[in-house]
Amino acid sequence: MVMTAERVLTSLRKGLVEFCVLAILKDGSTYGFEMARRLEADGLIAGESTLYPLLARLLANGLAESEWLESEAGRPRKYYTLTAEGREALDLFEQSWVPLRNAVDRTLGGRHD
Amino acid sequence: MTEYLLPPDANAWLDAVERALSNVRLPQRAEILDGLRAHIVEALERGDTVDVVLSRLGSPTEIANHAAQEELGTPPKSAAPLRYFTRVQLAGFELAIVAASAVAFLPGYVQNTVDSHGRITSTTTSIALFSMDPKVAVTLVVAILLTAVPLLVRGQAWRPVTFSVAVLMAVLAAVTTLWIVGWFIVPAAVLSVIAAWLPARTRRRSASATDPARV
Repeated sequence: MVMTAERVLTSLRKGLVEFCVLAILKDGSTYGFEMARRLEADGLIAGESTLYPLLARLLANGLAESEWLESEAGRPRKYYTLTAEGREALDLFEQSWVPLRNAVDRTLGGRHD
Repeated sequence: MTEYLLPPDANAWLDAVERALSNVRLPQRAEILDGLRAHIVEALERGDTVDVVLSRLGSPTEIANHAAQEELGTPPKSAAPLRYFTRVQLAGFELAIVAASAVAFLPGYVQNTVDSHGRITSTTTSIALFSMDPKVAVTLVVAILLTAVPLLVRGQAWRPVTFSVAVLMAVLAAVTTLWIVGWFIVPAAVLSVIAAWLPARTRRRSASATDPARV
């Protein structure tokens, strides 16, 4: 298997993106288009459509919920909201992620010394 | 959801996505299509052209691949694996059939034809099937039927039936060893007893895709 920057990135994104989505929802309800554009702009998803299968799984697992609400655009939008289970999952992720990120940073930093 | 008229290209693209997602469970498929439809509406309202919107969303196949990665597909309809005690019972049933076949096709008797001088002119050998003692035949049929019963019973009755069959098979084998035939059904009886003693627990399923802690 040839290791490319894209393959490394894809591998790293896997498992992280769902928590980035939960983190976005922690700040308040939002709709798909806005989330997709934000995640893509931040390089967290490879394409906008990636988001919707992921959202479908989060909804199926009870980590998020959705409802149609009237928007300022004058038509209903589908808004996604974090559930209590989603908040709990995000908390667990943050507890694991910070030490892991620090450990990786230390390891990579040490290698450059 | 409020109906919003989409351009024909967008509708055709959504139809293609729906076909590509045919393996995805219905609620999740509807959720994905709903999200994509709302996304297209939003992008078009913001001034993007249909071509740009669809090209940013990618191909239906890519979306189906993402859905597969999220493990949203319907589980394959494979037959449930046989539990290990069922395998033992099945082996017991097969051994009962083998025993019956072995006894039935053993040489039963030899008939010699002699001439007026007492010389053997021809010899005919018959299999035991045609001269079988009714007691032996009944024993073998009962053994086959008994070992088949636990394979046909489901639910709460399974455990008592399995114990009863094990006891009956053990008694049948013990009693019929007097007629030799019992030795043939001993292996099936032993497996019936083993199956009755095995704990009836099923294999625990591996963690499913719905585990919220999955990272």
